[in-house]
Amino acid sequence: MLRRLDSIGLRPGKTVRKVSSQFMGGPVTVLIDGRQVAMGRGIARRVQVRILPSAPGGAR
Amino acid sequence: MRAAHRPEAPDRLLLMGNPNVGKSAVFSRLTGADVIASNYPGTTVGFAEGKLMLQGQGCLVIDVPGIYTLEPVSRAEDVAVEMLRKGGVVINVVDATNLERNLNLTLQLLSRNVPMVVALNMWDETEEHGIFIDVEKLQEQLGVPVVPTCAISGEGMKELLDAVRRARPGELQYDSETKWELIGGIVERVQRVEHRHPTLGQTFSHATVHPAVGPLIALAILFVSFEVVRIVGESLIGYVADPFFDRFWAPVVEKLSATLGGGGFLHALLIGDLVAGEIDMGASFGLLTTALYVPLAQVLPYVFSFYIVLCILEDSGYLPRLGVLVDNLMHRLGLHGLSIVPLMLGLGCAVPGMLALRVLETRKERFIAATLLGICVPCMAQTAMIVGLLGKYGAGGLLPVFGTLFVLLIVMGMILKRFTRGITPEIIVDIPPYRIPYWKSLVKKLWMRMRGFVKEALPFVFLGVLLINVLYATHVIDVLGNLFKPVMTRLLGLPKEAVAPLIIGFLRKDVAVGALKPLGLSMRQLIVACVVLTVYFPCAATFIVMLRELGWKDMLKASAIMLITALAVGTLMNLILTALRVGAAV
Repeated sequence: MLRRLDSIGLRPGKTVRKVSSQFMGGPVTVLIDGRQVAMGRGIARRVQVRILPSAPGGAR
Repeated sequence: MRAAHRPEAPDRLLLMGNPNVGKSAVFSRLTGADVIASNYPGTTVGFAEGKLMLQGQGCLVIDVPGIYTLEPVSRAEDVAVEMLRKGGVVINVVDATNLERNLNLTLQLLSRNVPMVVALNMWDETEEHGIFIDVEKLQEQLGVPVVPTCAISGEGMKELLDAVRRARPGELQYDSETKWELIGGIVERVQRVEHRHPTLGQTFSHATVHPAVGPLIALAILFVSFEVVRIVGESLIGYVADPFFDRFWAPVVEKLSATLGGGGFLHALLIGDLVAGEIDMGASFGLLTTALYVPLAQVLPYVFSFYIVLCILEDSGYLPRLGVLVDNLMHRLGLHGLSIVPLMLGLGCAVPGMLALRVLETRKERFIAATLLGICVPCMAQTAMIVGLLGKYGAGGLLPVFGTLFVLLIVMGMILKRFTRGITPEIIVDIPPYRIPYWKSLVKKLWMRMRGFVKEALPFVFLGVLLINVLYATHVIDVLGNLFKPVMTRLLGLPKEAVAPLIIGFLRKDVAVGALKPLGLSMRQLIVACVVLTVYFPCAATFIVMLRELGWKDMLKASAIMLITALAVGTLMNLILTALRVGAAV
């Protein structure tokens, strides 16, 4: 899974911004480096983020 | 092991890069060859080869499927690594608007010590994103030639070819621990990003995956798409195809019919049967009447209008977003959201739909999607014929057919999900930015698909019409009709003659639906026959691809499922429609 996340540009230390999440456990869309990436809820749940002090957004 | 390279005139050019960076666009620019390029990851699943004259020498250009890494994880990566092993000059196509992530593969390629150049594609979009890249500096950092390009419009292609001569192996070595630090460093040195206010496209982009607004937009887009397909298709038939056949073609075949004396074997073969003393283009079933009229006047207009809409949806980048929206629903069918792409392609023709299944990762997904494609997704050729046949009854005639197919899609998906072993991985997809489709590539793609249809369909249609004539002339139909009579009449409520269309359906579905016309069926019978024809088996072309993609074991399973489903659903519909007294009288 790490490799798949790595391939879409998500890796430790990256700043991500959540764009949306679909109802009923649907996929989550986030913004990484200005790019939209969608992932299933199960994957998203396992990504740990730390909320950044500046504005709504998070980082891991 | 590496092949010897002659830097001045390579004999192989490999186009490599992440998915959806425009490799196929570069490929068709370089070679003039026809490949489909779209705006979603995974358009190229096999690989395409083309020829290019480079300094008076023929050079093989290979469009390698998009990959994120050289560590083989999926089939696409296996193919790519294998290609790389065979040697050649690599053109690493890079999305200039997403440099950091793309450089991961670039670095891996550099460490392989193959001669390469980098094409900074989508250069035209960088400014809009507020991205400024110092090409000189990037070239210095990577140690190989870097050329800004815009493949879709053709800018930078000449420069790219010039650079191929200067291609050289990279010297950059790295260790995987510090890879991203290295990339980060390079990006920091060569790229400057200015903050831009979100463009209209970006705002819209967010709205289309919004949990509440997104589905509304999706419904609107699908409704508009449907209407455009219908209106353009209808208009082309009403104003172009029908008048042409009426005014120019009908007199010709009438004269021929009179010359042949209005009867006899040759007349039956070329012109077909006269309906009420006259030639009926749709129902006479001769090689010069129905075999031309069905594909060219009834099907082609709808195929054309469908592909206009599909090409626009593909190139705009909407499809991956639709995939995200329907992900939840699709998981109930044992698939994930991106499976919507093969299913939508299948609405045009099942063959490209089946080929697109390769983007799905597991056997379970591929099996479910292929079976669903075979059972519940009518191709445009068939849809056009069904509309032509049942359209006169309005929604009351069409809804039972397409409604049943849709319900069947959901029900069968849920059943298959339960009983197919394996896992359905979660969706993980890179959503490309919206792009306004470039009209030249749109026209080209449309033309390729139309040409493909005419080339693939016409021979089968002729064969189908020929076969049906032979079957009738040799009375094979009577024998088979009597054999299958219990099934046809008792279960499906169809006359025994309906066995003929079902046989033709193995060959081609549009001719099969057309063959229902001369039988004079009631509305109920037409509805049942149309559904059964869609469900019971794929056409010959689809069958061949399916067999190749699934293997004979899974294909056998899928076939059994189809036949049983067709019989069950046909019988059920017959019972329900009879009970409801739908279309009892003609």
